[in-house]
Amino acid sequence: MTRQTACVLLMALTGATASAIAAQAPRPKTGAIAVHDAWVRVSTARRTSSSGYCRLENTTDTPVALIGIAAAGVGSAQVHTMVDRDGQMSMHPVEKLPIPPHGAVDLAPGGTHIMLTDIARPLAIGSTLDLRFTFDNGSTQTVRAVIRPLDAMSIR
Amino acid sequence: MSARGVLAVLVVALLWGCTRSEPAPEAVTEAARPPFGGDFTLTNQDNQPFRLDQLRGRPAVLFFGYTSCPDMCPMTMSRIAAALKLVGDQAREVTTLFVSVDPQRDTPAALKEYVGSFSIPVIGLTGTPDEVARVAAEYHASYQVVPTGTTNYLVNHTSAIFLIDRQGRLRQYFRFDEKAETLASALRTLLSEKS
Repeated sequence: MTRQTACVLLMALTGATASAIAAQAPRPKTGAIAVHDAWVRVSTARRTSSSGYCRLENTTDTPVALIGIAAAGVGSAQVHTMVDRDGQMSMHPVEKLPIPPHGAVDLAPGGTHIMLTDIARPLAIGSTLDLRFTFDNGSTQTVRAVIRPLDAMSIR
Repeated sequence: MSARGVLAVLVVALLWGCTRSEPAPEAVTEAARPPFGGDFTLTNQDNQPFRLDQLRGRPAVLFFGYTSCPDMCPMTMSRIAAALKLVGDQAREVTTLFVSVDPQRDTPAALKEYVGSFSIPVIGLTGTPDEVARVAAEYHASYQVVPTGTTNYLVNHTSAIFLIDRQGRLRQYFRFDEKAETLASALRTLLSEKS
């Protein structure tokens, strides 16, 4: 099979799958915000800052924004985005992270992520940390993040 | 985004993937090497002097960072580890160097704990603020401390991954999030060269 044929087939299959999902899963009348696959990098007594990642999903019909994150024993938890200025990377806090209606935002390594600082007790690999997310529609979600090794790139 | 919108994005993404031909990694020729980089002496995680020329005859990967770097440095290390894995057995000849741009906090002991957290062997390097500044200038790297109001300050820094050849010459540099395949390809070129 040529690469072109494979691509056409892939597009046809993906289109069919997306249509099937749309047909089987009607939009819920009342949606919610869901936080999936939350994980945080290990910290130590010496290295008391870390980073966290997750997928934020908005199943409502209206835009919702993440406006705060908190965790017990963590001095500060903020969404940070990275800016590249001529190869020098800098991080900037994001006060309000919009999640579009029926859309999702990934907080992932190398991009927008959660910056955790002043972690009182070391976060050991395999343990968990509860993160509380606050949204601008007044809702909150608390999810249990898994602590992963320093060079992990995903929850698994 | 509506289901139709998601589908449109998917189709565009697939078309992009199908029509775009991947650029071949640029050849790491000696002639095209950057006109900077070079030898230096710093202190390793065992509090011993480390000179780059100790590695002569073996290629190296070098990047600047700091142990409290929450996201980018662990990701860079992860990319390098993935590239070395792709290279296979010969990757044992490659030395990975992590040069701290935060000498105030990154003592040899802090570096020892940090480099020990990774799946690949890494030499952590630090020095006096002047020594670190000299090495950074040699590699055209920059960094600035960003106060946060706590002891957990941030350090903005150059994110490049530098490849150094068997003769200790800077040969090529990449973005910190470069694909592991591209890094591996460049490393194979350096490994194929005679000592």
